Amino acid sequence: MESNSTGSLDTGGSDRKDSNQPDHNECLKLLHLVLDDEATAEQKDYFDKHVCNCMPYYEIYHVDKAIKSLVKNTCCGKNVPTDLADAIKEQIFRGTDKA
Amino acid sequence: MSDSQRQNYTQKEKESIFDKEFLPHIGPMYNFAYRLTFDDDDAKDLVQDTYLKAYRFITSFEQGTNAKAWLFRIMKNSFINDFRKKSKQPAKVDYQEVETFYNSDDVDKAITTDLRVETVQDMIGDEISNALNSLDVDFRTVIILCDLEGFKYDEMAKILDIPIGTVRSRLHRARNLLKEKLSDYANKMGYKN
Repeated sequence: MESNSTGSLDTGGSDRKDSNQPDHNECLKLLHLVLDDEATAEQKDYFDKHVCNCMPYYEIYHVDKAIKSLVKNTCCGKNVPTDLADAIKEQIFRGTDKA
Repeated sequence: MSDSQRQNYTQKEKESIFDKEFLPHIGPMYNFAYRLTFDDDDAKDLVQDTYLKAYRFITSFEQGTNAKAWLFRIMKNSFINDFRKKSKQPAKVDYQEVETFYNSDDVDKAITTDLRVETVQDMIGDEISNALNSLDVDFRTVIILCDLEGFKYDEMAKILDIPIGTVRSRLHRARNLLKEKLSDYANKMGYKN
Protein backbone atom coordinates (compact mmCIF):
# COMPACT_ATOMS: atom_id res chain seq x y z
CA MET A 1 0.00 0.00 0.00
CA GLU A 2 1.28 3.46 -0.87
CA SER A 3 2.00 5.64 2.13
CA ASN A 4 1.94 9.09 0.59
CA SER A 5 -1.79 9.73 0.58
CA THR A 6 -2.10 13.23 1.91
CA GLY A 7 -3.00 15.02 -1.30
CA SER A 8 -6.40 16.38 -2.19
CA LEU A 9 -9.04 14.40 -4.06
CA ASP A 10 -8.10 13.78 -7.65
CA THR A 11 -11.34 13.98 -9.59
CA GLY A 12 -9.67 12.11 -12.40
CA GLY A 13 -10.08 8.90 -10.39
CA SER A 14 -7.70 6.06 -11.03
CA ASP A 15 -6.66 7.15 -14.51
CA ARG A 16 -3.65 8.98 -13.20
CA LYS A 17 -0.87 6.80 -11.90
CA ASP A 18 1.51 9.45 -10.58
CA SER A 19 3.66 8.07 -7.77
CA ASN A 20 3.23 11.34 -5.86
CA GLN A 21 -0.52 11.04 -5.92
CA PRO A 22 -2.56 8.66 -3.79
CA ASP A 23 -4.40 5.80 -5.42
CA HIS A 24 -7.91 7.13 -4.96
CA ASN A 25 -9.65 3.86 -5.68
CA GLU A 26 -7.64 2.31 -2.89
CA CYS A 27 -8.49 5.23 -0.59
CA LEU A 28 -12.19 4.82 -1.29
CA LYS A 29 -12.06 1.09 -0.67
CA LEU A 30 -10.20 1.75 2.56
CA LEU A 31 -12.75 4.34 3.61
CA HIS A 32 -15.55 1.79 3.33
CA LEU A 33 -13.56 -0.89 5.13
CA VAL A 34 -12.98 1.47 8.05
CA LEU A 35 -16.60 2.63 7.99
CA ASP A 36 -17.81 -0.98 8.21
CA ASP A 37 -15.22 -2.00 10.79
CA GLU A 38 -13.70 -4.44 8.32
CA ALA A 39 -10.24 -2.89 8.07
CA THR A 40 -7.17 -4.66 9.42
CA ALA A 41 -5.05 -2.90 12.04
CA GLU A 42 -2.58 -1.94 9.31
CA GLN A 43 -5.30 -0.51 7.07
CA LYS A 44 -6.83 1.38 9.98
CA ASP A 45 -3.44 2.81 10.87
CA TYR A 46 -2.89 3.93 7.26
CA PHE A 47 -6.34 5.48 7.21
CA ASP A 48 -5.75 7.39 10.46
CA LYS A 49 -2.35 8.65 9.31
CA HIS A 50 -3.10 9.56 5.72
CA VAL A 51 -6.66 9.37 4.46
CA CYS A 52 -8.08 11.22 7.45
CA ASN A 53 -5.79 14.15 6.64
CA CYS A 54 -7.16 14.44 3.13
CA MET A 55 -10.05 16.90 3.34
CA PRO A 56 -12.31 15.48 0.60
CA TYR A 57 -12.01 11.94 1.96
CA TYR A 58 -12.44 13.24 5.48
CA GLU A 59 -15.75 14.83 4.38
CA ILE A 60 -16.92 11.74 2.50
CA TYR A 61 -16.07 9.52 5.45
CA HIS A 62 -17.98 11.65 7.94
CA VAL A 63 -21.03 12.05 5.68
CA ASP A 64 -21.11 8.27 5.11
CA LYS A 65 -20.69 7.68 8.83
CA ALA A 66 -23.55 10.08 9.67
CA ILE A 67 -25.85 8.38 7.13
CA LYS A 68 -24.92 4.92 8.42
CA SER A 69 -25.68 6.01 11.95
CA LEU A 70 -29.02 7.56 10.96
CA VAL A 71 -30.04 4.46 9.04
CA LYS A 72 -29.28 2.33 12.09
CA ASN A 73 -31.14 4.61 14.48
CA THR A 74 -34.21 5.35 12.40
CA CYS A 75 -34.98 2.36 10.21
CA CYS A 76 -35.20 -0.50 12.68
CA GLY A 77 -38.24 0.43 14.71
CA LYS A 78 -40.85 -1.76 13.01
CA ASN A 79 -42.83 -3.39 15.81
CA VAL A 80 -43.42 -7.11 15.51
CA PRO A 81 -47.14 -8.01 15.71
CA THR A 82 -47.66 -9.35 19.21
CA ASP A 83 -49.29 -12.58 18.08
CA LEU A 84 -46.76 -13.49 15.40
CA ALA A 85 -44.35 -15.61 17.46
CA ASP A 86 -47.21 -17.58 19.02
CA ALA A 87 -48.88 -18.06 15.63
CA ILE A 88 -45.65 -19.44 14.17
CA LYS A 89 -45.07 -21.79 17.09
CA GLU A 90 -48.66 -22.94 16.99
CA GLN A 91 -48.38 -23.75 13.30
CA ILE A 92 -45.06 -25.57 13.63
CA PHE A 93 -45.75 -27.63 16.70
CA ARG A 94 -49.31 -28.43 15.70
CA GLY A 95 -47.78 -29.85 12.50
CA THR A 96 -45.26 -31.80 14.57
CA ASP A 97 -48.02 -33.30 16.72
CA LYS A 98 -49.83 -34.51 13.62
CA ALA A 99 -46.65 -36.05 12.28
CA MET B 1 -25.09 -30.57 2.97
CA SER B 2 -24.35 -34.30 3.02
CA ASP B 3 -26.18 -36.70 5.33
CA SER B 4 -23.09 -36.99 7.50
CA GLN B 5 -23.18 -33.23 8.13
CA ARG B 6 -26.81 -33.22 9.18
CA GLN B 7 -27.46 -32.89 12.86
CA ASN B 8 -29.29 -35.54 14.79
CA TYR B 9 -31.56 -33.58 17.08
CA THR B 10 -34.21 -35.01 19.37
CA GLN B 11 -37.63 -33.37 19.33
CA LYS B 12 -36.80 -31.63 22.59
CA GLU B 13 -33.52 -30.27 21.18
CA LYS B 14 -35.30 -29.01 18.08
CA GLU B 15 -37.80 -27.11 20.19
CA SER B 16 -35.03 -25.70 22.35
CA ILE B 17 -33.04 -24.49 19.31
CA PHE B 18 -36.16 -22.97 17.85
CA ASP B 19 -37.01 -21.11 21.07
CA LYS B 20 -33.50 -20.07 22.09
CA GLU B 21 -31.68 -19.54 18.79
CA PHE B 22 -34.33 -18.75 16.17
CA LEU B 23 -37.18 -16.89 17.85
CA PRO B 24 -35.01 -14.17 19.49
CA HIS B 25 -34.33 -12.85 15.95
CA ILE B 26 -37.98 -12.30 15.12
CA GLY B 27 -37.65 -8.49 15.52
CA PRO B 28 -34.89 -7.99 12.93
CA MET B 29 -36.54 -10.64 10.73
CA TYR B 30 -39.84 -8.78 10.72
CA ASN B 31 -38.14 -5.47 10.05
CA PHE B 32 -36.22 -6.99 7.12
CA ALA B 33 -39.40 -8.59 5.78
CA TYR B 34 -41.25 -5.31 5.99
CA ARG B 35 -38.47 -3.44 4.21
CA LEU B 36 -38.54 -6.03 1.45
CA THR B 37 -42.31 -6.13 0.96
CA PHE B 38 -43.58 -2.75 2.29
CA ASP B 39 -46.74 -4.47 3.48
CA ASP B 40 -47.61 -5.61 7.01
CA ASP B 41 -49.45 -8.74 5.92
CA ASP B 42 -46.82 -9.75 3.39
CA ALA B 43 -44.13 -9.18 6.02
CA LYS B 44 -45.97 -11.43 8.48
CA ASP B 45 -46.37 -14.12 5.83
CA LEU B 46 -42.70 -13.90 4.87
CA VAL B 47 -41.55 -14.20 8.50
CA GLN B 48 -43.92 -17.10 9.09
CA ASP B 49 -42.79 -18.85 5.93
CA THR B 50 -39.13 -18.36 6.90
CA TYR B 51 -39.59 -19.85 10.36
CA LEU B 52 -41.54 -22.81 8.98
CA LYS B 53 -38.72 -23.53 6.54
CA ALA B 54 -36.11 -23.04 9.27
CA TYR B 55 -37.83 -25.65 11.40
CA ARG B 56 -38.32 -28.02 8.49
CA PHE B 57 -34.60 -27.87 7.70
CA ILE B 58 -33.38 -27.59 11.29
CA THR B 59 -31.09 -30.62 10.88
CA SER B 60 -29.03 -28.49 8.46
CA PHE B 61 -28.42 -25.97 11.21
CA GLU B 62 -25.48 -26.53 13.52
CA GLN B 63 -26.29 -25.45 17.05
CA GLY B 64 -24.24 -22.49 18.24
CA THR B 65 -23.45 -21.19 14.74
CA ASN B 66 -24.82 -17.93 13.35
CA ALA B 67 -28.59 -18.49 13.51
CA LYS B 68 -29.41 -14.93 12.52
CA ALA B 69 -27.41 -15.13 9.27
CA TRP B 70 -28.93 -18.55 8.54
CA LEU B 71 -32.46 -17.20 9.02
CA PHE B 72 -31.78 -14.11 6.92
CA ARG B 73 -30.49 -16.33 4.13
CA ILE B 74 -33.67 -18.40 4.21
CA MET B 75 -35.78 -15.24 4.19
CA LYS B 76 -33.87 -13.76 1.27
CA ASN B 77 -34.37 -16.95 -0.73
CA SER B 78 -38.05 -17.14 0.19
CA PHE B 79 -38.53 -13.56 -0.89
CA ILE B 80 -36.84 -14.12 -4.24
CA ASN B 81 -38.47 -17.47 -4.97
CA ASP B 82 -41.98 -16.88 -3.69
CA PHE B 83 -42.80 -13.34 -2.69
CA ARG B 84 -41.09 -11.37 -5.42
CA LYS B 85 -43.26 -13.07 -8.03
CA LYS B 86 -46.50 -12.01 -6.43
CA SER B 87 -45.23 -8.87 -4.69
CA LYS B 88 -46.87 -5.54 -5.23
CA GLN B 89 -43.35 -4.21 -5.70
CA PRO B 90 -41.92 -5.86 -8.82
CA ALA B 91 -38.20 -6.36 -9.15
CA LYS B 92 -36.73 -3.38 -10.90
CA VAL B 93 -33.05 -4.15 -11.04
CA ASP B 94 -31.68 -5.04 -14.42
CA TYR B 95 -28.98 -7.51 -13.36
CA GLN B 96 -27.05 -7.24 -16.58
CA GLU B 97 -26.85 -3.51 -16.14
CA VAL B 98 -25.89 -3.86 -12.50
CA GLU B 99 -23.14 -6.40 -13.06
CA THR B 100 -21.80 -4.43 -16.01
CA PHE B 101 -21.64 -1.42 -13.76
CA TYR B 102 -19.85 -3.35 -11.02
CA ASN B 103 -17.20 -4.34 -13.49
CA SER B 104 -16.67 -0.81 -14.74
CA ASP B 105 -14.34 1.84 -13.34
CA ASP B 106 -17.34 3.99 -12.39
CA VAL B 107 -18.02 1.89 -9.35
CA ASP B 108 -15.00 3.26 -7.52
CA LYS B 109 -15.61 6.91 -8.22
CA ALA B 110 -16.42 9.06 -5.24
CA ILE B 111 -19.87 10.53 -5.24
CA THR B 112 -19.57 14.26 -5.38
CA THR B 113 -22.85 15.38 -3.90
CA ASP B 114 -22.88 18.57 -1.89
CA LEU B 115 -24.10 16.76 1.21
CA ARG B 116 -22.51 17.85 4.45
CA VAL B 117 -22.47 16.13 7.81
CA GLU B 118 -24.57 18.91 9.34
CA THR B 119 -27.19 18.56 6.59
CA VAL B 120 -27.45 14.81 7.18
CA GLN B 121 -27.71 15.29 10.92
CA ASP B 122 -30.53 17.80 10.44
CA MET B 123 -32.59 15.24 8.56
CA ILE B 124 -35.29 13.36 10.37
CA GLY B 125 -35.91 9.63 10.29
CA ASP B 126 -38.64 9.77 7.66
CA GLU B 127 -36.30 11.29 5.10
CA ILE B 128 -33.68 8.58 5.58
CA SER B 129 -36.32 5.86 5.67
CA ASN B 130 -38.04 7.10 2.50
CA ALA B 131 -34.73 7.38 0.68
CA LEU B 132 -33.78 3.86 1.72
CA ASN B 133 -37.18 2.48 0.70
CA SER B 134 -36.89 4.11 -2.71
CA LEU B 135 -33.77 2.09 -3.59
CA ASP B 136 -34.13 -1.03 -5.71
CA VAL B 137 -34.43 -4.10 -3.55
CA ASP B 138 -30.89 -5.42 -4.10
CA PHE B 139 -29.31 -2.12 -3.10
CA ARG B 140 -31.74 -1.69 -0.21
CA THR B 141 -30.90 -5.17 1.03
CA VAL B 142 -27.14 -4.65 1.33
CA ILE B 143 -27.65 -1.44 3.31
CA ILE B 144 -30.13 -3.15 5.64
CA LEU B 145 -27.84 -6.12 6.19
CA CYS B 146 -24.73 -4.01 6.77
CA ASP B 147 -25.86 -0.78 8.40
CA LEU B 148 -29.01 -1.89 10.17
CA GLU B 149 -28.19 -5.44 11.16
CA GLY B 150 -24.42 -5.17 11.40
CA PHE B 151 -23.57 -8.23 9.33
CA LYS B 152 -19.95 -8.54 8.23
CA TYR B 153 -19.06 -8.73 4.54
CA ASP B 154 -18.42 -12.49 4.67
CA GLU B 155 -21.78 -13.09 6.34
CA MET B 156 -23.52 -10.93 3.73
CA ALA B 157 -21.80 -12.89 0.97
CA LYS B 158 -23.26 -16.11 2.38
CA ILE B 159 -26.72 -14.64 2.90
CA LEU B 160 -26.85 -13.22 -0.61
CA ASP B 161 -24.92 -15.97 -2.40
CA ILE B 162 -22.52 -13.54 -4.02
CA PRO B 163 -18.74 -13.02 -3.74
CA ILE B 164 -17.41 -10.63 -1.08
CA GLY B 165 -16.11 -8.33 -3.82
CA THR B 166 -19.64 -7.99 -5.17
CA VAL B 167 -20.96 -7.31 -1.66
CA ARG B 168 -18.49 -4.45 -1.34
CA SER B 169 -19.14 -2.92 -4.74
CA ARG B 170 -22.91 -3.28 -4.38
CA LEU B 171 -22.76 -1.65 -0.96
CA HIS B 172 -20.64 1.17 -2.35
CA ARG B 173 -23.08 1.72 -5.19
CA ALA B 174 -26.07 1.55 -2.82
CA ARG B 175 -24.57 4.18 -0.55
CA ASN B 176 -23.90 6.48 -3.46
CA LEU B 177 -27.50 6.12 -4.64
CA LEU B 178 -28.75 6.81 -1.13
CA LYS B 179 -26.57 9.92 -0.94
CA GLU B 180 -27.87 11.14 -4.29
CA LYS B 181 -31.44 10.79 -3.06
CA LEU B 182 -30.69 12.56 0.21
CA SER B 183 -28.85 15.29 -1.64
CA ASP B 184 -31.81 15.82 -4.01
CA TYR B 185 -34.08 15.95 -1.02
CA ALA B 186 -31.84 18.44 0.81
CA ASN B 187 -31.72 20.70 -2.24
CA LYS B 188 -35.49 20.51 -2.70
CA MET B 189 -36.11 21.39 0.92
CA GLY B 190 -33.63 24.25 0.81
CA TYR B 191 -31.14 22.86 3.32
CA LYS B 192 -28.08 25.04 3.33
CA ASN B 193 -24.99 23.12 2.24
